[in-house]
Amino acid sequence: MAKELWKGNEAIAEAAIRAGCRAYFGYPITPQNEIPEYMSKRMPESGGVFVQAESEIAAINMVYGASAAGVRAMTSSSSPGISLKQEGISYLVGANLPAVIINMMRGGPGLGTIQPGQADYFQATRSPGHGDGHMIVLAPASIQEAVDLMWDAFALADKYLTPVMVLADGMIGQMMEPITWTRTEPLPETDKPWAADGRDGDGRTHFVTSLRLQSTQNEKFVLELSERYAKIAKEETRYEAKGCEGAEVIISAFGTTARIASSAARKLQAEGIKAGIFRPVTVWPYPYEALRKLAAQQSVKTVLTVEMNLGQMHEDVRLAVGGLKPTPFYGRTGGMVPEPNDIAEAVRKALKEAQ
Amino acid sequence: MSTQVVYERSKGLQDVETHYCPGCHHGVIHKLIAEVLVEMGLLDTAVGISPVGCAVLAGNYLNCDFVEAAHGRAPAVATGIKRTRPDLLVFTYQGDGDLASIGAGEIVHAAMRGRSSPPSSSTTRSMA
Amino acid sequence: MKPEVIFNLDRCKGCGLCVSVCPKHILWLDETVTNIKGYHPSGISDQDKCIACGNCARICPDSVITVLKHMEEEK
Repeated sequence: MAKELWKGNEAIAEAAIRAGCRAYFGYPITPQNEIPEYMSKRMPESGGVFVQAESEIAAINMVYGASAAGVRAMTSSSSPGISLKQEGISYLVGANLPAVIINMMRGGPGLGTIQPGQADYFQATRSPGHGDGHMIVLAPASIQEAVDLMWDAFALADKYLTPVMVLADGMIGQMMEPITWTRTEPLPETDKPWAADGRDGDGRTHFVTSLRLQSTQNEKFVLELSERYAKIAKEETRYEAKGCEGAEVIISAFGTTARIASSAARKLQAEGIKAGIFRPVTVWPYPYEALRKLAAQQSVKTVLTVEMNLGQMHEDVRLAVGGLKPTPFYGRTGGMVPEPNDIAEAVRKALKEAQ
Repeated sequence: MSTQVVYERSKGLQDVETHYCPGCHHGVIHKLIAEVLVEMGLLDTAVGISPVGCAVLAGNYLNCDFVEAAHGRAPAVATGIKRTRPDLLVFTYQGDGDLASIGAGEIVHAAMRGRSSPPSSSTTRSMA
Repeated sequence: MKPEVIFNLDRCKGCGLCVSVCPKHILWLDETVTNIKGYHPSGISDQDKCIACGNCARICPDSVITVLKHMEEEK
């Protein structure tokens, strides 16, 4: 299969269309502008719908509408725009609607900067919107993985009737890498008998809503959600562990940071330090069990978390390790990207402190 | 020999370089606003609201107080200032998307509130 | 009346707006000169033809031009 050179944002947009996305609603914000721009041309070309919404709030509500009518829809934005979408995301959860949302994270808080960041981890994994509810969150670390995950994103959304977020950062969006289109066929259409797309033959109506005024009914719904999430955690948790067997330090990182940590691990290997990389691919559900098992190995002296924020996935790492081993943290934030040398230094420091 | 100044840089502009592209009309509009504020003696009591867009940095260029607003929300921010401090001259500086796209609701409501709403100005691209 | 036009050369971005509005067509961007930012700054090719209208100064988005009129005193 031939390799093609693609820019992250454009590859993700193209992958969405090839996977079977039929509608894109978006709004410009750096560093994901190439997604709506690419979609504005490719969506109509492929027979789908493209709308540049008047705001991110309007865009997520358009996704909600399309999804309610049974159409595979997505949107994309970056940190401040995702904040705007939170009410809409909560509505998607409450109304059992599939959707795919891309967050090309940038440095925050507030308007912040346009450089990459990972500081929306809490927002994505703890509370995508108000109320009890979650969305599946996929965290690609390369353009190839982002492309491949687009098929999974739409499939998971349809399977579990939930919004799915692809949590990437400005680095992945803006850089160019050679990729292979390993998947080419669009996902099959799934049956959506609940969709608000006209009454059934027998006159039965559909009402897509998240309103459950009777709290007994509402609680029942949320408990069912929680069972669904337990099933997702059991069957859809994904991670990648490289060199963790027999390692003396496990570096836990996601997305771009994991790649930089891999470079650091190679440097440390030359010094005789065996550093493994534990990289969650689903940050929600988080692979707690897998990390705990690896951390429990006798060889492991410390589990270092590295992220582009003040310590968000760090909490999940601490939950997973459960006090078995020290769990130090190294991070850059506000749009700064850590360098391999700095991560290697943090590892040496962590090992020293673990003595 | 007496010297008459035909034109010189307005005192309503800070003495700094802007990041705008060569020929960008933000520079022209900034100085028109600066000249009016100077002429009307309002530099001390003016508060501008800057948008999301290139002019987010307008507060670094105009020689009066500025507050940055979230995308489209400048009329709301301005209303907050003007209602509580009616003595100030409050104005917004927004792009077409900021004012008429994401901010379409805010500008309509500011207009609806009427007299105690501050004036809003929009910079529209000359070609769509 | 003797006009004087002063350019803040290092702030000029070579946009050419002043060149386009000069009624005497005496402004130009000298492409053999680059300022500290790498732009070709604007300049006057024929100072004697200047009428001190101020168009160039008024249009400059970066306010790099100052136009003065030196008047002879009436005796």
